Amino acid sequence: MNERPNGTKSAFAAAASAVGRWFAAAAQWVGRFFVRYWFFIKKILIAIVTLACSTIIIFFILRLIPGDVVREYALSIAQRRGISYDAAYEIAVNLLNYDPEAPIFTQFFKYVGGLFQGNLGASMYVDGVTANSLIAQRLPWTLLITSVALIISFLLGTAIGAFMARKRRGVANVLLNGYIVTSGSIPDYLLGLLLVLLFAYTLPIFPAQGNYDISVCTPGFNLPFIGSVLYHACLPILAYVLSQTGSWALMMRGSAIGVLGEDYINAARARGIGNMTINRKYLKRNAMLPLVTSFAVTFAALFGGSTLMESIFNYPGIGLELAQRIGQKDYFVVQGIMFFSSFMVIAINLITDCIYSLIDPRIRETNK
Amino acid sequence: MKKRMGKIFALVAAAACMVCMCLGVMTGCTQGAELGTPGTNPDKVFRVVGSWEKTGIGSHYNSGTNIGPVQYFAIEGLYQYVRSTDEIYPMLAESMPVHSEDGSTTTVTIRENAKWQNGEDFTAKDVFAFYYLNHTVVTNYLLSVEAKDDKTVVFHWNSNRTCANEVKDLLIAQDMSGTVCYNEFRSYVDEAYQIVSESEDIPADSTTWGAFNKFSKGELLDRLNVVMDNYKAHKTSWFVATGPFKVTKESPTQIIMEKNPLHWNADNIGFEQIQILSSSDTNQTYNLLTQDRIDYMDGLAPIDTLEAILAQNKQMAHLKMYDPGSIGVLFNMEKTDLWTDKVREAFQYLFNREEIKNLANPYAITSYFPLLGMADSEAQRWMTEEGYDALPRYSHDTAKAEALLQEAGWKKIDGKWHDQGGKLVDLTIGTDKTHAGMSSIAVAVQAELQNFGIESSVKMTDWGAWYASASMDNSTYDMSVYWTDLNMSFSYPTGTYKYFDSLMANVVHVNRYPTEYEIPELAGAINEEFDAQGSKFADANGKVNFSTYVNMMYAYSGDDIKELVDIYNNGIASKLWGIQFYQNVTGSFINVGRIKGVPEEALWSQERNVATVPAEGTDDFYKVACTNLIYANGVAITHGMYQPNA
Repeated sequence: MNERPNGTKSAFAAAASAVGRWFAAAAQWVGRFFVRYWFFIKKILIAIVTLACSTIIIFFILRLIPGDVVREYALSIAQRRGISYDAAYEIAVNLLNYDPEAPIFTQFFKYVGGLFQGNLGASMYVDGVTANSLIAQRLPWTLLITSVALIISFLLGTAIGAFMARKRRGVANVLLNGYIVTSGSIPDYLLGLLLVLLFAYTLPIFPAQGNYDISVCTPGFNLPFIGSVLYHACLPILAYVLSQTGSWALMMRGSAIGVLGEDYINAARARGIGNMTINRKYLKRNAMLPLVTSFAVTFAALFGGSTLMESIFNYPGIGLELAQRIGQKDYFVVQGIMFFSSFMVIAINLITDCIYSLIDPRIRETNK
Repeated sequence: MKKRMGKIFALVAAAACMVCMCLGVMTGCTQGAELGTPGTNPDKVFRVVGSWEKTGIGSHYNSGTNIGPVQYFAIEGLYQYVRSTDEIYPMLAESMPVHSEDGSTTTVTIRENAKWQNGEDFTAKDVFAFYYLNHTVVTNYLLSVEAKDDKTVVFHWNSNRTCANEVKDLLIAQDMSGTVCYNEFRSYVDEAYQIVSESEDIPADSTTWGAFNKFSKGELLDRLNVVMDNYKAHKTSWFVATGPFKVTKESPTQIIMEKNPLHWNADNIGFEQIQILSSSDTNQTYNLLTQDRIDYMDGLAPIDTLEAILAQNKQMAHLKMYDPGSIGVLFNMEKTDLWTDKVREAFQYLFNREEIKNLANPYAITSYFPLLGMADSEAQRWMTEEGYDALPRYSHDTAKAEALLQEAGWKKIDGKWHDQGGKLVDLTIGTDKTHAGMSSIAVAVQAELQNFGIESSVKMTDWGAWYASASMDNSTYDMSVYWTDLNMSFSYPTGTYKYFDSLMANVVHVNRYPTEYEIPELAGAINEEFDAQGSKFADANGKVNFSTYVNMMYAYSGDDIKELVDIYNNGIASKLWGIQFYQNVTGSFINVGRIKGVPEEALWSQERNVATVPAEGTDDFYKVACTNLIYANGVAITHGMYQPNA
């Protein structure tokens, strides 16, 4: 009878000790995990804070835009339908999926709650239209022209940059320098306008606007449609390529000049390795490394589209949609699209940072 | 040496490229076939530009989706009125409405061959469905809408909310009643009708307004809202419409509509296809006109742009028409120390209105009135001769302005005007930068003030930002450049007064009843009195309050309505709340090479920029207003006035 309490006590002590050891081991494991992966954890935390800040800023800045959505909507309805303003106002009040009287913090918490459920926001004007559906419809068009343009301009720019680094004298260098300076100083939308005037109106080679022509094709997986899409993408892609190639060339030139001064290039030359091989295997590969981060950041920025360029070509991408929704003050959709583009920039930056640190562990060491 | 040569070569090459580009652009912009070439439109296509909801136009008009120009070619009502002329065209109705002698009913007969685009007959039940699901303005004056038989609709009017027969016609003509197919929306229509029937009647002595003289509240109102929401969101397998063209293809930047062979007037409609292009900004639209990519566009362009378009596209003409609205200055009357009676009067003389008009819109009609609640052409139509003659007019007279300012206690020191307190006058002028005319006026006003010795600054923002700032309490704007009056609907008086009440009065900051006023119907309403001595409308003090008759004008006609308009216009003018600079004139770009039947041929065949507005009441006055798709909702196409030059 007397042993039972002792036995219970010792069993309890043993269990407590086991739990303690388990906790200690877990704490040690967690500690090691944190030490080992602190770099990544820190990056993820920073990304989360950045995203939270951008969400708050986007929400409140949009609300600071002065204007009365109901009145503006009523005016547009009155004009469109040729009815009196007061009749239009009644229609506007009934049609809008928005309560302008709702307290701003209620709206904010509703918005954040929606984000956690993957709902980026619904249009105030059109039933069934959400930021999610708009992104799904418009983003592929934006990515089609911008990613193709980015790849072409990157490849072309790095090749030009490497060439300019190697041949720093001569007519070609002067011409290319002229191109870089000119393309760098002309805003891309101006270049877009010039291209439209020249190749769509003056020499009607390419269409002036749109993403495909429904009078000659039916959307779907068929050759006329694919052909029409590619045909309509030519001018926007050309505009992007012409405006972006110069900056890639400039970056590559600077990087390549630095690489050309490295010992291993001299050693390769001393070993009698040909210029072509040095250029391909030693120069380009090494000089392009710093450009990869810029490439990733530029790629991330594509998810927001380019409002001006898409407006010039009336290309129905995410940028044009965003511009038009801002004009309409369709707050919920605008904040959804802006949240999405900031999320993509932050996420791609985070992934790039992590991959970079895996490739080059020195980055992790210096950031500890 | 080699390096220098390289640089020179590069510069020459770059210059050559630029010259080639510029030459190319310039030569490309001067194309266009000569006017009158026969067979310029063999495919019988009418091409327009517009904007619509890019995610899709939806499946019915009342879903709230912006369907853009599809409205002009696919949507019809029983009738269509023409803005600025009030002319009415029967559309789905066979003839003009017939009013009973006692005014209690109006009967409309529907065309025998009126059909929905899916082939179903368009019947009176569809009109009934439209009104019970869309409580438009006319339902405030109705007791019920009855489908007497398949092709006969009877409107039963509320004797407590009477309106003149001509107003009844216009109210019915304002509605797109061919947009609710009963068989498609039956469940919503029946339930809405049930709820309306169960709702409480509005007592005869009440000033409350409600559709079909009913007042839905509590559970009934909740049920009605649910029905309306479900109706809006209802998706149909076809675009519910009756119009002459059917939407066959749609993309975010293009819509193609094909002729509807079932349309009641299909035999007289010459066009086989409508092509609608979208445009992301005005310059793109001008390019589409210049490059002959579209046949028609509503509106005016800045004079240089307009002339450039016509010079470059030799098939294009531009016709002018009245816009029932005036543009000018609105004073912020909240600033009582600044805008004293004398100062406001001085400002009426201060501006050279002709010069300002010429700068902003040379085709417009200069006004010498203060703000008076309606545009000049409307005032002439709706006022008595004596009333119109009694309106105050102000010529450009800076000496008079100076004298009045001095009487107000202002002083000119070192060439700059100082107010009665000795403070340098520095005015802030607000305007909507998106309206080319208004932004030009604001700059002109600032220049004239500067010349006169009054300091000022202009703040241009988009409409929403300007209106929010201008209408808020303690606004920083001393004055705004905007519409002083505008009629978006038919001309019968109240449209402009109500527009003033809803928008401009907030910018002017006129006196209003408190929002907690003891008579609920007057809470927040305008509380401004006008002199009406000797009129039967005057109260015991010989006055008429703005809010007393503004909602009841539809009830008056003949001499009564003219007397009321005399009181209102002279009353508003006497307040000197603002300045009218000009009555706006708008227009239409029309490709006269590809389209036959364009009015004023004698004029545009001589000069394609037709500078004159047809005189009111003339044949051309009505025809030209009809050419405007916004004003007349495609009547010119539906009634076969326009034909392709095939």
